[in-house]
Amino acid sequence: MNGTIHLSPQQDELARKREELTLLETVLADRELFLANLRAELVAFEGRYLRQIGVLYAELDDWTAKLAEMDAAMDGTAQAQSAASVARAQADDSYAASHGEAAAAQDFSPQPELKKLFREVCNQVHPDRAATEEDRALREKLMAEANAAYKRQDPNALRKVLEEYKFRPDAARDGGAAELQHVRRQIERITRRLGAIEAEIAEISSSEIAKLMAKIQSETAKGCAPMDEMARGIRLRIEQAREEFEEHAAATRMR
Amino acid sequence: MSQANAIELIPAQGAALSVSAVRRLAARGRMDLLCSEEANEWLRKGMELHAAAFDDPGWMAVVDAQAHSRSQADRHAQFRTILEYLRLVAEGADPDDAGHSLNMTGEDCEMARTLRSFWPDTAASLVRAVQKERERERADLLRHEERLRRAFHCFQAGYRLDPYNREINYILAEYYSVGLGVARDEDVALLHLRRSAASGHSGALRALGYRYSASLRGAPPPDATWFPQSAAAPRAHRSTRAAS
Repeated sequence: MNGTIHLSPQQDELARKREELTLLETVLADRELFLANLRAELVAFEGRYLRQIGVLYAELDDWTAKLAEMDAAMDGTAQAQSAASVARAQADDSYAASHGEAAAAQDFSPQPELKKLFREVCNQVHPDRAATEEDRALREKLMAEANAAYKRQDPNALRKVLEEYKFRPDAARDGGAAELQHVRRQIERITRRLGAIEAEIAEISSSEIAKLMAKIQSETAKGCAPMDEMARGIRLRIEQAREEFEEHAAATRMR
Repeated sequence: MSQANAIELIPAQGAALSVSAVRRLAARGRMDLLCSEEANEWLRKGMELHAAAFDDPGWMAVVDAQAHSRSQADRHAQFRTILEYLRLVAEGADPDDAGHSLNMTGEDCEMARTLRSFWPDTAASLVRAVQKERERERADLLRHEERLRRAFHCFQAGYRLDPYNREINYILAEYYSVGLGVARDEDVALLHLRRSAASGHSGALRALGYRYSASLRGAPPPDATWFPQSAAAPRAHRSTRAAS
């Protein structure tokens, strides 16, 4: 006897599929973490941008609208009235956007430990690893909780999710046809999910706010302070608009 | 649509409008950033041309020659004047008029006439050399002016993209003030200078302070504290709004 274990073709395939599944699960956890980071970073950046720059655009739009309204009052033509309405609508929009819920988002800078924990949760609790529909429903609920906890940067809530799922039975590991079929289904689901994640990342990355964030990050990496520069430029424009408004108002009073 | 449905839709519509407004603000910020980047690229190109215009050895030689000929102590001045006289006469000018236009002394005129009468070949070759030098100087000057014109257009292109760029405003103020690549216009120069100073450009603040303290023209901005010297300047002659 030379100690070699002979596997049946089915067991051999199962072993290979298990290896493939383990690899895919690692990739999935990484990509889920990347997506969660991207989403949270974007929300935090959006909030910061609206608080620093959005409010200035809103102020500039308000002066522009005031000027247009004054012109409309003096001019009285339908065209001037319409221009004033458009300017006012834009000013209101800018104000609502820069003072709304999105502007209240807090900064996002997760610690490495939190990232590790979230990755662990993805690995253990991901719905695409579910054995049954009941299991899947539970995993989906827990994954949603984990996503929210990660966004809040709450490691305790993430640990709680892990604990809650810890003692759940995994899929049957009988080494037979049922397990092979289950592993194949998991591989298929994870592959689909990976495709969906990539599509979502691509969609998020092509959004205006993501492009702006990328631009600002690249400028910051070069040692510039693009947000400060932008704010400076807009403040000068506000100053100019305010002066223009006051000059118009003074001219109107003279008449 | 029932009233209940309409009420249910309002928060959703509000959220969608807010999302689109945020998107619009983001797009606006990105566009401003891109414009500022492109403006800086124009500034860089303009500065390259500016440097090329002033670092040109030909132009520097012209400046040297002008400085040289202006110097009363220059020991070659007399010789250069005689050469200039010979060139003018060779080009058809009346000898007396040429001597008069060059403020030549009678002694110098006599020397020039002697050179022309007794050594005509030498005089002719000297005239040719002077003419050649003048042509080269003209070409150097033209090249210098063309570079400055192109530099000015670069700065203007940058200004159109980012009218509040402090560096561009500062250099445009200099161009308008001195008349480099564009006709001199002190009013426009002052507007650019004020705009540059308003964003804290140290050179512009100094130049503006100098203008105010020397009571040249213009008036301090409403908040005159940002340059101590400007605070003392009178508030008269407030210039007109910037040409944008």
